[in-house]
Amino acid sequence: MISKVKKILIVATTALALLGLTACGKNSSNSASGDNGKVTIRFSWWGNDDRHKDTLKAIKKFEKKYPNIKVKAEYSGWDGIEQKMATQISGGTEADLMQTNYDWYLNYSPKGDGFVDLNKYKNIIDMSGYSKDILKAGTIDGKLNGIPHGSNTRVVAVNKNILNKYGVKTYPTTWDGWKKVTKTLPKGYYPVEFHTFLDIICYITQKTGKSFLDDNGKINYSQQEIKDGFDWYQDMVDSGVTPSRKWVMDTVGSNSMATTKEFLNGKITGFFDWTAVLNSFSTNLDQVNMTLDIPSFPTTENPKNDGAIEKATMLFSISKHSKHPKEAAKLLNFILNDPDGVKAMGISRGMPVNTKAQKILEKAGEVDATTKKAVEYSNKTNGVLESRYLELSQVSTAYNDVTDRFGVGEINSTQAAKQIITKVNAAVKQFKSKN
Amino acid sequence: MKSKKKYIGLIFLIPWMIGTLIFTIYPFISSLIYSFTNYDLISKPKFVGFANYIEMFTTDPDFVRSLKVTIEYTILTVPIQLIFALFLAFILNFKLKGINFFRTAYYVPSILGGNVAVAILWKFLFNKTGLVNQVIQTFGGKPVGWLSSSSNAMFVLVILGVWQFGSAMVIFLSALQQIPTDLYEAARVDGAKKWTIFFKITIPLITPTVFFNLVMQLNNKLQEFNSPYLITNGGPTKSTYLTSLLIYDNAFKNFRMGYACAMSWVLFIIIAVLALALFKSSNRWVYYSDGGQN
Amino acid sequence: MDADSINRKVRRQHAIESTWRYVLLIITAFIMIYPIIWLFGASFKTNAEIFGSINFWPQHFDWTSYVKGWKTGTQYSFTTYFINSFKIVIPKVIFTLISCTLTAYAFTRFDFPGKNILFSIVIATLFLPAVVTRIPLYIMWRNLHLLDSYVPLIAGSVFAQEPFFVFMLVQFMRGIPKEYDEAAVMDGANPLQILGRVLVPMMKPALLTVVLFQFIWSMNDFLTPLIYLSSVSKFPVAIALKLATDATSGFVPWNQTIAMSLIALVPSLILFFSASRNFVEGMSAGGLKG
Repeated sequence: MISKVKKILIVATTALALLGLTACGKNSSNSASGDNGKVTIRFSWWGNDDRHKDTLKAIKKFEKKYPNIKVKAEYSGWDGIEQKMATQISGGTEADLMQTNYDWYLNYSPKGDGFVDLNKYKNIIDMSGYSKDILKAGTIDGKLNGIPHGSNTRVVAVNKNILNKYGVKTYPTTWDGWKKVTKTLPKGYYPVEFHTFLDIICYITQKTGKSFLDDNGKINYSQQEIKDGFDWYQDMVDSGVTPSRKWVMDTVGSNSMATTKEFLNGKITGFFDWTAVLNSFSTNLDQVNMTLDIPSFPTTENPKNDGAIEKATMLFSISKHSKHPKEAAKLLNFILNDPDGVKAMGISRGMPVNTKAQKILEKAGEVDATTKKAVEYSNKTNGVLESRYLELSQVSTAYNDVTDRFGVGEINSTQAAKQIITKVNAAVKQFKSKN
Repeated sequence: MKSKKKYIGLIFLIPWMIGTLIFTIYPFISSLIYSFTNYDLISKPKFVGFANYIEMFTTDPDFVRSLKVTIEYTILTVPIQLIFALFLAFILNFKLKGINFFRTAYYVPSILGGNVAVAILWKFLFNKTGLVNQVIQTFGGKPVGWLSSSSNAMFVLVILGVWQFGSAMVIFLSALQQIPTDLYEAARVDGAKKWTIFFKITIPLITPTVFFNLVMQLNNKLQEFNSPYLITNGGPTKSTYLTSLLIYDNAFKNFRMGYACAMSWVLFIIIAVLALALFKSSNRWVYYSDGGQN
Repeated sequence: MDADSINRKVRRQHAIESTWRYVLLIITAFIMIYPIIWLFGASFKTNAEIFGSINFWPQHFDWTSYVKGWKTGTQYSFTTYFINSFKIVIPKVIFTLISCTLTAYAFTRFDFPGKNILFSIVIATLFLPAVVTRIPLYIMWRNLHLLDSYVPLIAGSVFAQEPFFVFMLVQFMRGIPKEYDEAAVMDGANPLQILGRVLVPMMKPALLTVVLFQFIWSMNDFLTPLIYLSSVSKFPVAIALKLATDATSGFVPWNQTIAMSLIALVPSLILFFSASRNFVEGMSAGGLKG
C-alpha cells in the first residue's frame, strides 16, 4: 500500500515538473526573437466572431507581406477583458499591439506615458487620413497613446416599417415633432426610447452649446441647466415618446434593447444608442423582415448645436514594454492603411474614421446598408467630442445612479441636478487625488 | 509510538504546507499590505496608512450599504437553500426507480453555474412580459416589475441563489449515504416512526455535514458575485450592489486596488468572526463519531 | 383487525406515499430542468425568435447552429477546446483527490503541535475574495515564466490548496468512528494502510463528491484560465463559449452560443449521472463493511 501511494506521489510530482518544463520551454520561445531574424509580435483584441475572422485574415495577409514578422493573435469575447487587461498591464505582460477602449486611457496612462508615443513612428504609420480632432482623442499630454479605429456618435434609429404602417413617412426633425408622432402610433408604442443620462446630455448640449464635462473633468452646466434636462426627460416620458426608466429596467434589465421582444415586435419603434451598435439591432430586425432607418438627430427649437455626443472607438496602442515596437507599428499601419489590410479588416469594428480606409472599403463594396446610413449620418451631424472623463467608471456610476433614483421616483429634478453635480464632482476629485 | 505519530501527521501535511507558503501566504500578505496603500495597478503603491479603512466607513456611501445588502441577501438565501437541499437529499436517498434521473435533474441548475446561458434564461423568465409574469397573469394576478423595485430585484437574486442548491444537496446526499444502514435497521426494529428516525438518528449523524454546508454557504453568499453581475448589475439604485461586486468594480474598473484590498479584508474579518462563532457553537450541536474534538 | 387487513392498509399507505413522492419529485424536476429544455429549444431559433417569442418550440429544427457553433469563428474548433479542458481538469481532479485526502487525514487522525492554528488557516483561506489575490499571484507566475501554461491552473491542487475539499473531507472523516482504525492497527496496519484500506472505502461517497465538484467547477471556471492563458490554442471550453459574445461589437449568433453551452454541459452531466448510480453502491459497500 505504501509503495502504491508513493508511486502515485512520484508520478504526480514528475507530471507537474514535466508540465512546468514544457510550458517554460514554450514560453521562452514566444517572447524572444527566434532564429534567422524572424520576429514574433503579439496582437490582442476582443470582439465577436466576425471580428475574429476578419482580423485573422488581415494578420495572414500581413505575414505574407512581411515574412520576417510572425503575429501571435490573442483574442477573446468582451467578458472578463477588463480584468485581463488590468492584470496584464500591471504585470507588464500586455501584447505588443492591442485594441483598447477610449475610457481606459485615464487609468492606464494618466500622464500619457502608459503606452508608446506613436508620434515616434510617424514615418511608419501614415496618419494623413485622420483629422486632428480625432487624433486628439488618443493624445494625452501631447503623446499619441492610441490611434482610433472608428468613431461613435449618439444616434436615433427607428423601425421604418412600423412608422410607415402608421403613416409617418417623413421623420420629424425636432423633439416636439416626435411628440406628435406618439399620437399617430397605437397605445403602447414608443417612437424614441431613451433612458440614460447621456441622452439628457445631448438635449442640454443642444440648448447650451456646451459639453457636459471639459477636458479636465469640470462640469460645464449650471444646476438649473441640468434640472431643465431632467424636466425635459420627464416631459418626454409623460408625453409617451419614451417609456419610463422603470419600464426599461423591467423590460431590458442589463441587456441590450436589441434583444427584447418589444423591439422586435416594433413597440419600441425607435431608440437612442451609439452608431457602432446599430448592426446588432438591424441584424435582429432583419430576421423579422423589418428595416432599421436613421432619421436626422432630433433637436430643440433654435439649437446651438446638433448635440449628438461623439467618441473615439477601438483605439490601437503599442505596449511600452514591447521589444519590437517597430514591427508592431508596421502591423498597425497595415491594418489601418494598406489596402489589403483594410479590406481584410472590413467593417467588423465599424466604419474606420480614416478617410483613406473609408475610400478603400467603399470601392471594394464592403459596406452594408446600415453602416452606410450610419456613416452618412455621422458625416452630416456635428458631433460634440466627449470628454475622456464622461465614461470614466466612477463618473458614469455616479450619474447612472442619480438617473436611476430619478427614474424610480425617489428624487425630483431639482434634487437630481444637485446630486449630479456633487456626485460627479466627488468622483472626478477622487480620481484625480490618486495621481 | 506517540511521538512517532506526531511526526507522521506532519509528513502528510507537507504538500499542503509547501502550497500554503507559496500560493496563500504570499498573496494574502501582499493584499494586506496593499490595503494600506493607494495602488492603481500601474504605478508603485503609495503608503496611506488607514486612509482606505477610514474612507469606507465615512465618506464612501457604498460600502456600508453594500454590507447591509449582502447580509440581507445571505440571511434570506442560506436557510431556505439549506433546508431545501437537505429535504431533497433526504428524498433522493431512497431507493426509487429512476432516482438517478432525479438526482441529475436537481443538480442541473448548479452545473449551469455562471454560464452565459443563465443570463439569457433569467431575463426570459423575469422580464416584464417574461414567463413568470405570464404565469402570474393566467392566475389572475398583475404583472410584476421584477427589476425596477429593490425588493423584487433582491427576490430574483435570492431565487437564483436557492435554485442552485445542488452542491449542498449532493454533500448532504453523500453524508446520508455514509450512515451505516444497520443503525436504521435497529431503529426500525425498535418500532420508531420515519420522522422520529429522521430527527433522532439521521440529523444528529450528519451534523458535521450540516455544519460544513452552513459555513460554506455563508461564505459563498457573503462573497456572491455572479448573480448580481449577470442579472441586476447592482441595481436598481444600488439595492443589489453586493460587496463583492463593489470590490470588483473598485479593483478593475476604478483601478483602486488598495481600496479594494481594504474592503476585502473587512469582509474577510466579518466572515471569519461569523465562522469562529459557528465553530465555537459547534461543540454544542455537532456530533463527531470519532469522539475527539478538533 | 386481522393481520391481513393491516398488511393491506400498510401496503396502500405505501402506494399513496410513493405516488406523492413521485408527483413531488416530478414537479420539482420539471422546474429544475425546464431551463435546459428551454435552452435546447432556443438553440434552434434565430435571435429574433429567441428574444421575441415566448414559445418554447422552435419554428424550424435546424442543426446548423450546432455545426457552425462547433467549428467557431476562430482558428480552432471545439475539439481543441474540449481537449484543452480535459488537459486541465483531469490532472486537477486527480491531484485534488490525493492531496486533499492526505491533508484531511493528517488533520483528523493525528495530533501535532499547532494543529488548531494550521486548520484555521485552511478555513481562513476561503474567506478572502479572490479578486485581491489575483494580481500578486499573477506576478508570481510571471516571475516564474509560467504564464500562458496550464501550471498556474493546476499547481494549487497538487499542494492541497483547495480548502473547500480539505474541510469537506475532514468533516466526513470525523464521521467515521476511530474504532475502525484501532482495529486495523491491531492487525498491524501502518497509517497509510489505514487510510487506504479502512477510511478511503468508507468515504467513497465523499470522494466521489470531490471528483464531481472539482470536475464541474474546473470545467466551468472562466476567469482564471482567461487571465493566465493568452494563446487561443490553449483556451478551455469555458472561454471558448464566450469567444463570440460581444454585444457591444455587433451581431452575436446566440443560437450557436447556446448550442455550445449545452454541449459543454454534456461531460459534466454524464459524469454526474454515472456517479449518482455509484452513490447507492457506495452506501451498501461502506455500510456493510462497517
